Amino acid sequence: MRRVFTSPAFPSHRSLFLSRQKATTSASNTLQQHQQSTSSIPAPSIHRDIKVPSISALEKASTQSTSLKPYVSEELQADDYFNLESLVNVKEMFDARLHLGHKIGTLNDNMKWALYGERLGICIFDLDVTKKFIVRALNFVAHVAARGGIILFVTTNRESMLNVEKTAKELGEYSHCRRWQEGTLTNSAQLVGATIRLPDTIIFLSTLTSLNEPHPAIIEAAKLTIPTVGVVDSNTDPAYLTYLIPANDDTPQSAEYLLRLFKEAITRGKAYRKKQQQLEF
Amino acid sequence: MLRPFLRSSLGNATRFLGTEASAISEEDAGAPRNLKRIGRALETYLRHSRENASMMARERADFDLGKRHLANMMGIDPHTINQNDIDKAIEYLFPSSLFDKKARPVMRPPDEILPRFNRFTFDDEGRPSDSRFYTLRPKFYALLSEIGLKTYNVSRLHAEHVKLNRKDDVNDQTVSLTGTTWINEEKMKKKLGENITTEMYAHLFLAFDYLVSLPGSVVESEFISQFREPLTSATASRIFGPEIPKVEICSKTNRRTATASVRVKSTNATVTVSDAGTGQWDIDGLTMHNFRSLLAREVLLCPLIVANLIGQVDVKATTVGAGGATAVPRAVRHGTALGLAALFPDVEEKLRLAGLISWDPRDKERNKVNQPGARAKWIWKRR
Amino acid sequence: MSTYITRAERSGSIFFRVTGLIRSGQLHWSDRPLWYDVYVSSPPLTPPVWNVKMDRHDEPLRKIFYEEDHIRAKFYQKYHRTGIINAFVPGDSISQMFINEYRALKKEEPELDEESLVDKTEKRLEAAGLTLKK
Repeated sequence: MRRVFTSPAFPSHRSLFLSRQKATTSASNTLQQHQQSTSSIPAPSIHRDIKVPSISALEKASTQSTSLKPYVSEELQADDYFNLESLVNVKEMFDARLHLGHKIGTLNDNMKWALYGERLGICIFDLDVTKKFIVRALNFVAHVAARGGIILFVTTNRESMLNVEKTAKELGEYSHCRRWQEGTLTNSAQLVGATIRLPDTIIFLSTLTSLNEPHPAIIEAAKLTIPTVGVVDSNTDPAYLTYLIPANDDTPQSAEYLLRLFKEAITRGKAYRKKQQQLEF
Repeated sequence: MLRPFLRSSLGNATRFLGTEASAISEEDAGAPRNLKRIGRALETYLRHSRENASMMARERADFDLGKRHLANMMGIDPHTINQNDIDKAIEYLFPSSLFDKKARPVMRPPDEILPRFNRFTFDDEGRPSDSRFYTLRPKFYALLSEIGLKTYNVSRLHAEHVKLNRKDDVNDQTVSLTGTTWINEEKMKKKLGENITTEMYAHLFLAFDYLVSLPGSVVESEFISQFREPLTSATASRIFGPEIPKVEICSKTNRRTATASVRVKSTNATVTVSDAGTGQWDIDGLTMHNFRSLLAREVLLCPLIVANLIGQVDVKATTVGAGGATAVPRAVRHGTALGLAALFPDVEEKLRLAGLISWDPRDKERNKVNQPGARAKWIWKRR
Repeated sequence: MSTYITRAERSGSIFFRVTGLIRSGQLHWSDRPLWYDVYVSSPPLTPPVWNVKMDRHDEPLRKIFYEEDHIRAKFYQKYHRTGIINAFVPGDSISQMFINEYRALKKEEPELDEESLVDKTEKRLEAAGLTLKK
């Protein structure tokens, strides 16, 4: 059923052209396409929702997003549909050294909320807070995967780079562990040569580049309204990231642990998707 | 105009493309209401892709037909004609004296000659097939990652050897790179199928050099050899330069000899180099002893030094024409080098790189009028 | 109809901008991005505004100290070379053993002062087979 085309597919997903095309070219019209309702798509309510929120409902939603919950599909009504909370436990996080931050001299004031305190100069993350945030992020990623979203893993950590690439490949998702070309997302049409489908989520396993500057992909994703999940360390600025995971991003053990969690979450999401597709036929 | 094409080639997915608002049924309430127009860029790309596909199909058909005509012309069985036959036939029918082989007429399947159209691979949901797609150079970075992984494995293996005290293990050697060199940028671009900058190319070979330098890298010699090519091979027939003479075998003594006729300025020399010798010199009946100048002796011995065959060959030369202090030695040197290249082919490359095989075209410059010589001028007075 | 998502990342969060487009009719509800529903169902725990001041921004960071730290301080002042501490190996480190012994001793003889407690602990450990180098 799933055919492989040798030309860029017909922009099949609704999120396809929104972010990239119009933002780049001035004259051409957007393709608003809705492949979801035609072929093999999962969650029935995505394309068959009769309920469309009114303008007032949307106005309210601007400030409080959860008010639109009645308009979304069934599996999203649950708090933790894929039961991801059971995957995370504080002891394992501790063993994976997720709690170790950098020295207080490098502390970003906007990260104090996530820290338990400072022990002899080293910032220590509050793993209970981290757990909450990890579960939230995993839930988001799992549901995005369940809807067939493209997930891009980004890291600049040289030690965990190969592991990230391997995990992404195993999942059938994407990775970018190299030097970020400016405009990869915002100017993708020109750099690739044709319009392409951009990632639906970007997961940053490290937010800073080798020069200790924020990764350019964060701003690009924010510009194109692509939600980002970012592992923020004590020396990083959490601005522009959608879902934060306050934890250690430097050691390969912590990266391995987080990759394992993401892998499990995405696998569960994709399994759900497959099941839904089989039910459709 | 675009609609029928899209419907036929892309099937179901296009159901909603170009649908008017009125045509939407109730159950598609969630579907978009406006007229869809495909993005101009994608439109152009699809058109090019379609045109390219049909053009290639036409070219392939032409080639097959042409092959059969050719077979008919040349009297070859059209069913068993292969590329070798085609090449020979074209060389016969279109003889060309163009120096560059690539400029000569050629008949090959269009896939080999015509430029490839860059077709992306995506699945029907628009998801790229390559996991590193968003790096914009997936194959290059895939290669870099592969080198990184192999480097890690090699160093880990070596550490194990050290731990188990097996340093002399065969697998612990550094890979041997003699006689080969890294492939150049153009070849690398072709191999990867991607456009890479010089910086990226340099980066790649930094990584390779490190891998190659590690003890135990011999384990990955197969992988490394994919990116190495033999040093400039002199085995292919050369169009330029003097011909290497043929080796003759003297029936009586069973010695191999090679004779070369050479010229330096106005001195013509015929030099015979014999195998299995003792280092004897016979230049117009003179031996090395008669060449008193150090320069002359060095010049004469040069090819033997480069080839490392001093005392192993005999040289006999006869000269015609007036020779200067160095003209005769130079002529004999040239002849010796050619003779050695004929007798010992593996030494030819070394001699060529040393510049001993190429003919020195410098001649005495002609004298000009109103001047005492070729360049000298009469004394010049300002006033 | 065209959907021009504003690329001004500081004008609002991604959700705010997309909702704004839907409200104004630039983007249809059925064409909303894939992540929109998921965001609605489980929004981020911290407001994704670019210049938000997070909690405890201006407050100083709590220093983590334990009660036994002052015993530890005395230990390290007196005895320098305790060897490498391997956190992967189960069991107490030398300083931890000292602290445990000190505490036990303090319970037994509460009226002793710190100096003598330290000396006694050292002797006890030496008796147990652990010599502390100064």
